[in-house]
Amino acid sequence: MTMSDADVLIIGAGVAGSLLACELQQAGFRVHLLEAGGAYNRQQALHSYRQAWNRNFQSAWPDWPWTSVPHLEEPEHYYGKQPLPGYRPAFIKGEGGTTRVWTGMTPRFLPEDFRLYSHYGVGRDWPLDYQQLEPWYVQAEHRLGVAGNSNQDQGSPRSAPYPMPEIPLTYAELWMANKLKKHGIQLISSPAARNSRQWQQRPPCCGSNTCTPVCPSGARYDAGVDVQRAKSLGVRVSLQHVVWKLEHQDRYIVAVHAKKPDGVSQRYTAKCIVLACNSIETPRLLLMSATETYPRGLANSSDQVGRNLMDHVFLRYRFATPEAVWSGRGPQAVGHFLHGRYGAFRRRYAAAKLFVSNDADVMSQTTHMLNDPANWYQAVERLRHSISHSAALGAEIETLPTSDNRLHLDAQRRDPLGLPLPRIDYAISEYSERGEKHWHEELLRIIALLGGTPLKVKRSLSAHHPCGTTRMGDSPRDSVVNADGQCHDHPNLYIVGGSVFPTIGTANPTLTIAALSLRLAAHLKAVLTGKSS
Amino acid sequence: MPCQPFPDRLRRKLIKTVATAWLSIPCYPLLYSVQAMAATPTSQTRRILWLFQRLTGVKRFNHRFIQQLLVAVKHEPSGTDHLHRVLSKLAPEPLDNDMAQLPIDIGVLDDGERWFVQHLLISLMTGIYFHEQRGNFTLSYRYALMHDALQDIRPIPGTCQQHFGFWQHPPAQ
Ligand SMILES: Cc1cc2nc3c(=O)[nH]c(=O)nc-3n(C[C@H](O)[C@H](O)[C@H](O)COP(=O)(O)OP(=O)(O)OC[C@H]3O[C@@H](n4cnc5c(N)ncnc54)[C@H](O)[C@@H]3O)c2cc1C
Ligand code: SF4
Repeated sequence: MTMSDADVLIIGAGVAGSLLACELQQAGFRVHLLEAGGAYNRQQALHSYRQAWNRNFQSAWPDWPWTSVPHLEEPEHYYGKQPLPGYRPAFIKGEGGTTRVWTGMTPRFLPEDFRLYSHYGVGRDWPLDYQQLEPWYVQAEHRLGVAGNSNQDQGSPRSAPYPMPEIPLTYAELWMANKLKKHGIQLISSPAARNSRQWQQRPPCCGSNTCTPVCPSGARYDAGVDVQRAKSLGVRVSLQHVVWKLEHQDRYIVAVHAKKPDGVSQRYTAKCIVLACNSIETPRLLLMSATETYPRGLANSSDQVGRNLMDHVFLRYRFATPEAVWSGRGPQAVGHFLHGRYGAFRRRYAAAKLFVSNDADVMSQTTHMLNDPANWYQAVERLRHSISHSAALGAEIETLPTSDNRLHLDAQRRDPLGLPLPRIDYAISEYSERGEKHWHEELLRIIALLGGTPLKVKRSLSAHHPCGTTRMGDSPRDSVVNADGQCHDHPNLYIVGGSVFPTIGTANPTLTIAALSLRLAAHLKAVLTGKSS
Repeated sequence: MPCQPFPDRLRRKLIKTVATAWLSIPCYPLLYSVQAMAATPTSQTRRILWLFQRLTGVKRFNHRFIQQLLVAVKHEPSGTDHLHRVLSKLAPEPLDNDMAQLPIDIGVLDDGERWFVQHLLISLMTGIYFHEQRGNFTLSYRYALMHDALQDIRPIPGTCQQHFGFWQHPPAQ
């Protein structure tokens, strides 16, 4: 049975999909938003998080019995077995998508990030440049509610101030900034989608330090806000709808098929279809929609669907400080260092965003401390000392697009609705390895300048920023979508999200995803009113 | 940014030691003490709290939290026995207030007792009870000492107790 006849069908109610839905509905189009997961409730999430013994971000937001997500503790279930250390970015499904758990850091890309090849001879250039995206960054910062220092040059020129003043640095960061100034190292407050004052009916941040996984007050933006807004604007929002196939007639997508939790499939039609399912699920859906005409999957004449998977290599050093700096008070992340993101070195090795992590990691500090019986006495005082006399620095290191880093469909493993699960091949290039080595040493240098003693390091191939799997480009031969997000192969199929990034730079991806979503909205308004093709 | 699951390697390692030290001692006296704790503390309850104070340095505990902890201990196969043994070595009658200020001598404990002391401490500090058979579970979030006893330096995570920007300043000491 065919249901609905929307102007635009958007698949995925994360930040990319819900912002787009609001824009189009507000412009008078009929929008239908399909979401695989169910409804979420922040207070319930907070409660579940506190009740869980293994408090990670997935203990706050439940997954659903009818659809799979990568579990932090059992990622093989979703991604299959991988050689160690494995690449297993996490995300969640449901109203608001992964921004339910994000930390809320929203730096912009740098102008050079869009021209990596032209500037440094590595990676690729985007088919659009910073100037073209800049007005959309301004809008995205308003929509998400970004707090930042408008007077500080962070390398990304601005045409308008941030909507809110910056989140102030923590005491530990002020201590670091003061010590590092004489060495020419500058620590600044990062822009973040966290209120520094009342904004759009959400309160200012109260520094409760659980940005990931759940903000108790709603001071940190999540896309649940825009799903609610979409509903109030009249967008038809269908939760618990797992889209499993796109149906085409010639080059056009004429319908999407969505399964409900009971396995019954429904067909939905619209003039235009937008995939906003994130960088893992969007290519998965395109590959699942293969037909005789398109045996490699839809939108895949270039064979680039699922390839060029990128993320930031994540490093975090905890270190002991020579005096009490009181980490863990305030938001989980506030400041980052100005150096690391740009410079001629990018010809030779990867750039990085170096930051201060303000997660005191109290649980692991406690258990670590109690491993030593010498601490089984006045344990609280000892914990107080180790928390107040430690801090953490991190690095998120750029990776380059390579076609071997890719997602396939697994022939064996299936999700609860019988749909094939993804499998991933992933390794970092020598360029990123050189970058990692360099930034690792730089973190140690900064720790030494602070008089600190390194305690432990954590490394992961993923900062949960997967990107690149349906990249944009001018040529249909080596890219999936054009600069507007329109698939080269299917004129009425669009993609929005990190999957369209040709390169990843060093910025956390979500503000750029939001800017691209708002830009796509403007494009679709023009297309649907016949003002553009 | 990625989060880490909680490591419970130690729990698994030590629980093996304990399994060998199982003794079947009736649980009733412990339960009785716990029930009576609120009104007139029994000698055993006072010894337990004295020991907890000695281990953690904290003088006041949330009654319900401690009660839940002791009920969970009682459900361990050898929990009551271990509690008795540990109390007899670390909190012998008559309780000596000067001793409460001293570190415990772990040399007097056997492996199973050592495990048990660590187990109690991890439960008190994290508010999480690690239990191989029943599965791990939360006793209390709010009153876990890593939250409750450090409120002066750090608001309980996930609760809004302070004003915007307080984090620029060190805690009032
Ligand atoms: C712990 C953590 C911290 C992070 N911190 C930051 C940060 O500080 N800054 C930053 O920029 N980024 C951060 N990120 C990344 C950020 O969360 C993502 O970039 C962002 O949420 C992506 O938004 P999206 O709308 O593209 O995708 P998602 O939010 O993943 O939404 C996609 C939606 O599509 C739905 N969907 C998928 N497949 C289907 C289907 N077949 N049918 C129907 N619906 C479907 C999903 O259920 C989901 O709700 C973090 C991520 C994590 C995990
Ligand atoms: S510190 Fe607390 S109030 Fe502020 S954004 Fe993070 S979770 Fe929300």
